[in-house]
Order: sequence, then C-alpha cells, then structure tokens
Amino acid sequence: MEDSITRRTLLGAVGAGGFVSIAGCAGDSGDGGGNDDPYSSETKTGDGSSTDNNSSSGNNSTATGGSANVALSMDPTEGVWQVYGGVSPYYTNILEPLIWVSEEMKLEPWLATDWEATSDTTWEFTLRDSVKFHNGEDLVAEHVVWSFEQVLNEWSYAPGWLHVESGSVTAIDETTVEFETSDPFPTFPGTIAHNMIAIQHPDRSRENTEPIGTGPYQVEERTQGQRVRTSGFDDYWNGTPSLDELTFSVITDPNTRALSLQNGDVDVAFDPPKSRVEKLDSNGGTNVTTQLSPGAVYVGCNIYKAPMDDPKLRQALNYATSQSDLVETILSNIGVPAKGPVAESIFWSAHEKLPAYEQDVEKAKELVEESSYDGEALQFHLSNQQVDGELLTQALQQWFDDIGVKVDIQVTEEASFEDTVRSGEPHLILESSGTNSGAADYLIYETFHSEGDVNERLYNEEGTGIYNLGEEVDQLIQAGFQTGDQAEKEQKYEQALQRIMEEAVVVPINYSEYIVAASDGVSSMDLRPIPEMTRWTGLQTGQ
Amino acid sequence: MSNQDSTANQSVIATTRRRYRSVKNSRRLGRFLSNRLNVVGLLFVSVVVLSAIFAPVIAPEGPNEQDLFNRLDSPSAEHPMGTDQLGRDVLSRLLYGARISLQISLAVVAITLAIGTAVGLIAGYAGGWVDEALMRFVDILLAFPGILLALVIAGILGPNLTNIMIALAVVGWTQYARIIRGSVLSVKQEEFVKAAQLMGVPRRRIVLRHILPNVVTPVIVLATMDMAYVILGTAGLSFLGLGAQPPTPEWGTMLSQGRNFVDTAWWVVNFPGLAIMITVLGFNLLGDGLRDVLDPRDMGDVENKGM
Repeated sequence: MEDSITRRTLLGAVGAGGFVSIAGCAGDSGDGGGNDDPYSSETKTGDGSSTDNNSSSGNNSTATGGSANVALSMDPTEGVWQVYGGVSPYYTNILEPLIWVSEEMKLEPWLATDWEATSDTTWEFTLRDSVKFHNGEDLVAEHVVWSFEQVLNEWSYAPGWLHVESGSVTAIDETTVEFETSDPFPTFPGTIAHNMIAIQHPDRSRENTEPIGTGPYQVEERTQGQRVRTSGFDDYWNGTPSLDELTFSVITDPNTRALSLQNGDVDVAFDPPKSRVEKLDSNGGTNVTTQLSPGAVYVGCNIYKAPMDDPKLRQALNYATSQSDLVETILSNIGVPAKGPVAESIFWSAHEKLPAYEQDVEKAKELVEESSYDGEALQFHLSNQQVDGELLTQALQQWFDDIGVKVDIQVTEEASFEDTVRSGEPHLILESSGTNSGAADYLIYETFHSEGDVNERLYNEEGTGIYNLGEEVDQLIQAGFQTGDQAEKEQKYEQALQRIMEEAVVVPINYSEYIVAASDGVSSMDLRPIPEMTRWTGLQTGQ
Repeated sequence: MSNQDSTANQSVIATTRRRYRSVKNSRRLGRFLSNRLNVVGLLFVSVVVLSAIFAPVIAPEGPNEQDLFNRLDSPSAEHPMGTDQLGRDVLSRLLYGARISLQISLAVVAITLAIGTAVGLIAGYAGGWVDEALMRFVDILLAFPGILLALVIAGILGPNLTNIMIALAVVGWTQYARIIRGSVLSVKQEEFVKAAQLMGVPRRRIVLRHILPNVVTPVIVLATMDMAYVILGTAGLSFLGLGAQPPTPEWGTMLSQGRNFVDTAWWVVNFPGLAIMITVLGFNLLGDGLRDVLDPRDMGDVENKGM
C-alpha cells in the first residue's frame, strides 16, 4: 500500500508540474537567458570594447576592432570538410574560390582576375597578384592545381560535376592555370564559382584540423560541432577585415537561433523561423533582413504517370492555386509569388514571359471535368526537410479538393526522398531548387532534360521520365546549355520554360528569400543571393 | 402473451436493479470511489472517451477545414481554442484527434494483450524448453529500450499510423507475457488444476477455462495503464515525423507542427499538449485505482513493468 500511495502522489505532482510548465510556456519564453553559454560573455566583452570604434563602415584601411557571433544552422566543422582542414568554406570567408558571385548573380573576379576559353575544352585562368595565405605565403598557380587535385580526389562526384578529371589541371606559369574539361563545358567558370571549390595552401592539416586559406578571417579555434572562432587577417588582399574576432556558432534549431539572438548570445542569426520574423523586427534590439536567393519552390507533376499525363489536369491544378495567398499567409510574406520553376533572380528565368495562371476555381473545375481524372487519390510526396513543406502541401490539398481532385500527402525521410522521386512513384512532388554557384544552368538541365539527373533513370530504362517533355524541350535546353553567349542562352532557356509552363509540368509556388536576423548594432552586412557567400569583411557591431 | 412479456420484463428489471444495487453497495466500488484521485482519473478518461465518440456532434468545424486568412487567431467565442497555422479550428482537431489516439491505443493494447496472453499461457503451462525459448526471446526484446525499438521499426516501415501501431505492438506485448507466465506458474500448482488434469480434461480446456480467468486480473490493470503508454508513444513517434501524415489531426503531429509558433500563438501547441497530458494522467490514475480494487496483494507484479 505504501508503494501505491507514493506512486499516486507522484502522479499528482507530475500533473501539477505539467500545468505549471505549460503556463510557463504560454508566457514569453525568455528564460533561456539563464542558460549562459560561456561564449556569449566573450562576445559581450568584445562589444563593450568596441564602443568608440564604430565611426567608419564598409571596407576600411584599418581594423575597427570588436567581435561578432554568427549563428548558423549548418555545422561548419562537419566531416565532409576535412579536405579543407575541417572547416567549411561556406559562410566563414576563411577560404575563397577563384570566382565569387555578385549581388546580381553575376560572376565576380576573385582570386582569378581573368579567364577565357582557349578551345572548346580548355580554359585559362589568370590569378590575382599579391594574394597572401594566412601563413604569409603568396598564392601561386601550383597552389590552385594542388587545391583542385584535393577536391577531385576527395569527392567522388567532383570530376563529373566539374567536368574535370584529376591530372587535367596544369600550371602554365606562376599566375596562369589551365583547365582541360572532359567535354565542351561552357558553364565551367560559373560552376567553379562555388564555395566548395576553394583554394587552400598545401600546408593545411587534415589531422590537426588547421585550414589555411586566403580569406579575410583565419581560424583561431575550432570546436567540433559547436563553433569556429576566427580572427581578422590583416594581410587580406581585398580590404582589411573590420572585426578582430568573428565566431560562427552552430545552432541547428531555428527557434533556438532566434532566442539566442534575442538574449544577446549571438549578433547575427541565419534563418530564424518565419513565425518569429515579425516579432524580431518589431522588438527593440533586433531587426530582420530578407534577401532574394536563387531558389524556388514548386510542385512537380510526374507527367508520365496517369492521370498526371493529361495536361488539362495539370493546368487545372495551376488554376486552383493562388501563389500570392500562399506567400501572404503561410510564408509570412517571405518570398515572391512565382510563375515558373526557376528563381526570378536568374537572368534566364523568363518570369515576365511565362503564362500566368490566375486562381480561377470554375475554370479549374471545368478542366478537371474534361480531363481523364477519375477520382483516384493522387500521391503528393514531400521531404521532411522541406521548410514549411507540410503547410504548403496541406493548403494545396485543400485547394485541389475544392476542384474535385483528391490528394494524399506522404512525408518522406530526406534520405529516401530523392530515390522515391526518381522511381516515378508519386504523382505530385514538392520540389525546391536552388544553386550555390554562379552557374544555374543545372537547375533547368537536371530537372527538365531527359538525360538530367531526375529523369535519367526512367528515361534510360523505360523511355519515359518525370518532368521531361521530350525532344523539343531537350533540344532547347541543350542549345542553351552549350552556348557561351548570354543572349542566346536566355532565349533558348526562355523558350524551354515557356513550353514547360504551357504544358503545366509544374505548379509554381514561390521564389525563395532567406532571412537574416541581427541585433541593432550590426551594420554593413554584405548579403549575397547565395547565403553561403555572405561577405563579412566590412561587418560592424558598434553599440 | 403480453402477460408473459411483462413478467419477463419485470424480472429483467428486477435483476438489473439487484445487480445495480450490488454494484453500488459493493466494497470494491466503495474503495475505488473513496480515493479522490481515482475519481479524477475516471473523469478524465470519460471526458476523452465521450469527446471521441461525439466528436462530429460537438466539433464546431471539420478537422481539416482551412481558412488561410484567419490563421493563428487567438481563442474566441467562434474558436474556443483558437485556430492553427492553416486557420483550422484547434478544438475540432483535438476532438477528432481523441478518436485517433483512442482507436490506436485500443487496437495496440488489444493486439499486445492477445499476443502477450497467448505467449504467457503457452510458456507457463507447457514449461520446459518451450518456456525457456519463449521467455529468452521476451528477454531479448525487453533488453531494448521500448521506444527506441519502436522508433527503428516505424522508421524502417515508413511513416503512417498503421506502421506506428505495428511498431508499438511489437514492442508492447512482452510485459503481458511475463506477467501471465508468472501467474500461470503459481496457478498451475493449485489443486483444482490438478483435479482437472486427473479427470482427463483436455489441455486446451484447462488452460482456457481454469487457468486464464485466474490470471487476467493484473493484466487488465496493466492494460489500462498501457493505454496511456501507447497514446504517449503514438504522439511521440508522430512528433518525430514517423506517424500520422498531414492533415490527420493527430495530437503529436499537431504538437510538432505547432512548435514553431510557441511564443506567437501559444494555443496551437499547448492545447494538444494538455490533451495528451490529461489523457495519459487519466489512464494512469484509473489504472492505479483499478489495481487497488482488483488485486490489492498483487501490486508488486505490475509496478515498474517496462512503463
């Protein structure tokens, strides 16, 4: 009996405790502040010392001092970055590629000042003079060759991705490097304008995790899975970094990132949850910036699986959808209503020239009536990693239901999602596209060309595919892909995208924006369309 | 004829009355009601069961009726528990969610109870190598942390409610087998079983008619508490994305989808959380009460069995 009373008392206590903790949740969740990361205090000290140094901004000739802490959702110390000494070139500005990408998604000469195609398959890159590595040595062509060899040997997909085999990168003289591509590859410069193809010094150490790059910040301390602390590199070739110290902290949960910012533990937080944006912006002390990225979200229709093979049904789904409603409500006005599958910020996205499917329920119902749809439930797949994916699919499900089309949602583990899509099993797929490099060509090639990554398997096995309309569009994409001429590329890709939207292969949703929240003292953030390419050289944290 | 009917009716009524009176005056009921926590448990469980049964009648709206432009509305007369991130009425979703949770837990408990009892009876009565083999298998299963094994199974099978039920059933039956076997071992030695054996009663009949009724009591108590465990397990797995597919109004899924809105719209997560808590607490209290009433001496058997 003794025992059971204890148990009951315990249950009662648990119940009472539960109520109390729920009441606690209902209030403002600011109690995380007591949980002080030893690191945050360091940041605060840094802020204090920088108070009288906030007069100048932008690229300065002298360091203004101070420190900042940036919260990232990704872990820059992940195993995949061993090739660079254990620290990711994404976000950190420690290592730099030959070519950077500008605010307009144009190629920006970086460690290479110039490049030209010397034949169909060879490229000559001229390196910038007097670029110094963090160990004080000058950058020469041999370093570039070595860096490329590392990458090509490290990642098995790299040779196929870059169209360059190991051994076909050669140093012609101290400042000239020649690349030989395995086949004609006009988008080579854009493809290597990617953080993952960074230039490093051969003395970097995999074992001791010591990266050596050319960037404005050099690694001081690296704590696996937690943070990378960097300091300004005074001999940087492109201006002097404004901060003495810049730390990148790993905070994987979006809510925690936002809370850490509110508590002052970090100064900049990437991708806070959309639901908190308004609060972060209106609260004193923090503000929010959004930046259009080269990404887009859309629903792909598997045009080879009945009844999705009927263009009328696909058009009906387009007429059932209101992109602006989705952006306004679920996406909290983050993002831009889309008309096509390729982000507006890419010059050949054809946004202006694509047919607009305004929401028109009556028309959609008629089209469903005329189509071969017979009431079966369509399988709508999405990855569990897709941000806001479940909300978007549920809203679409309701709209499709309104025009008489039944949809079953299936959330799939990210790992098996790609495979499920390529097997052609789903009718509808929530897709998100984007690019981390200056070349966006693969966005259209891999998705809509018969031999692109998505369609290849079924095209080769059964002559079908997923999103590939066939010969005509293949040729347009091929022509656009192979040309180095921007105007021609634009024209060919636009024609292809027009065909794709006329046939309603996709139901566009939005062009993506990403969100960066920062405390009010932070200024001169140099955000780029590709978030991983954010520049920190001029960052100010004067307070 | 009518005369006979009315006499029959009268006798039925009389029996019912007598039964009612005997239940009402029974010591067991008295003992059950004497503890206020038992009554609270019964109340919580009744509320949940009733709202599950009458969900279509009580619910102000359909569970999946969206209204994008009235999303995240705070509780009001129209939406007593506010609206969620797609403008759906939270109260309606909770009521329909009660159906799902109860259906799943009933099904899982029934399956585990059946498997566990069968295995326990066989192992206990047959003894020898059969017993040894079955019980060592149970040991192996029990060596895994239950929810972890369920996680693995649900992960392999893919996310949907049927697979969650399978996962929880695979994990859950072992404790029943153990308890039943233990009781069977002692009941087997009783004289009435020996007598039946000597009279040549078939083995199946001995097990089902003479042993089973004498060993089920602790299991019924455990099953009541297991309802809570299964509801919690379902919500937990769904929270991790291994359970219900959207837009199913499952409580765990509601929690997981609403957790981004904790500080802007507290009602989206706190009401499902409260629902889970009340249900689990209710079943636990009820189970506790039942144990005291049904088998006050035997509580050691049920305590800390893999809960």
